[in-house]
Amino acid sequence: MIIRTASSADMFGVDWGSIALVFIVAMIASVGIVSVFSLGLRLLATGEPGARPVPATLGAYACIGISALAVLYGIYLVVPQFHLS
Amino acid sequence: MSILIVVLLVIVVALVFDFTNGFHDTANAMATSVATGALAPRVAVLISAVLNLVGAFLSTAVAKTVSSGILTESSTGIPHISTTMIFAGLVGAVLWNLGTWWLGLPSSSTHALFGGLIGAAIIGTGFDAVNFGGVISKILLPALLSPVIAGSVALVATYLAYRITTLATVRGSEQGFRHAQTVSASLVSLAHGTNDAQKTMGVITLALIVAGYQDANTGPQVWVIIACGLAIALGTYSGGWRIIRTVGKRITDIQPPQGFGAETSAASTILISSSLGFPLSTTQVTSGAVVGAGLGKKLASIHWGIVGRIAIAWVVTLPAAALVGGLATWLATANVLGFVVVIVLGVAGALTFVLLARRKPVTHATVNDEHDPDSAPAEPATSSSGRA
Repeated sequence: MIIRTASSADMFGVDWGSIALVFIVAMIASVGIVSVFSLGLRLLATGEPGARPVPATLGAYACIGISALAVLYGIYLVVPQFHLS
Repeated sequence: MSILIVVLLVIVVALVFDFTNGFHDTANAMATSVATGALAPRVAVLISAVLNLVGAFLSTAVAKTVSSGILTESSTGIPHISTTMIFAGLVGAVLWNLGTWWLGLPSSSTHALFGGLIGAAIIGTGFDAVNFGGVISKILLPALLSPVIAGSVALVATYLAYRITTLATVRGSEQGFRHAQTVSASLVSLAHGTNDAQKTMGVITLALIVAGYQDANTGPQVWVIIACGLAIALGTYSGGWRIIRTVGKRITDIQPPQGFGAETSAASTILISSSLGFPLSTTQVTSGAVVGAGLGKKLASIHWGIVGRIAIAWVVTLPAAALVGGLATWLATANVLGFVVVIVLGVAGALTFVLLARRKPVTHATVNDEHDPDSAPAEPATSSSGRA
């Protein structure tokens, strides 16, 4: 991830722009992942047990797949060897 | 006193600190998974230990800069600190970590470490040795902000998880949340390993550089990396059950959707802050996220007394460790006898906390037992802000 704010106003030597950015990105990412995964769980539970509509199943798999991709991206971020050029 | 002996003592105490860092911080990643039953306690600490070990080998970037910005450096890039001071600072950090563990409080091991070193540097070298602007911008303000950031994120995330699954009454949702929570918690563990083991590596490397056994501005030696990785992993596996119980059961009784909300928020906050070059403390992010996840379900379900006690511990950690580190420096730099006294007092203090903890042990079998913090005599509320 190469987003960087220019060293914005630094009261107490703190880069407040970076903090705001961390807050916003973390909020969007967490809320997004949690919502998508919860939606997947909800879709998995639609219909009678054992008789789930096909669109619901596909939607649920898509949601869980997106969540899995988010986890892979997380691992990518943790392991520096993946993004050091 | 021979410099070699001091360096060897620094290495021993640093590894002890790394061990306490491990069992202090198991709670960060695994408390919520243990509380919701997503993982059996022994399995949770094993996963966390392995991931911490892996993390320790992934990156040594943090190790090179452990003291930069906190301690002032000479023109050759060496901080104004001696091996004896590093030793004394580590004693302060270890004692504080053991004291807060005995009280079951999730305080930041990083703060304890920096506190000890800062106190040692002030007493040993003078106020010039510490970059106070750096202390405020790199330690104090992030400490205030990280729980708020992670807490707000977890609050919104948990609220939505409950809304979307109609209060988790949807068939299979509890189980689904438990699985997902395990994954998020594992990411937190891995991220923790890439950060915290590095700090001990950095301190040992700093001691080697100061003593002249290693060139300035070089990274940790391979044996240092291996020793630190193993120490933090062993510490993690030994499980800080007292702190796990506080985070998983006593702040709020964590349910699967909350555990998922909290760990996912913690994982993304930690990863995003690190990759934006503004790393936040794992301990403070997770504790904040747990409070947020509690609020996300129902405002009243947070035990604010416990939260207040944790907040006090956070505020006190750095100055308290600095005080112990400073006193230890004062004694240890006087003469050989003083140095021996520091060793004896340090060992005695550590044993005291371990024996105190033994009187009311918390184990993997009882970690989820106590629900009511107010009736629990194991938590001496009156002394929780005391010095280690």
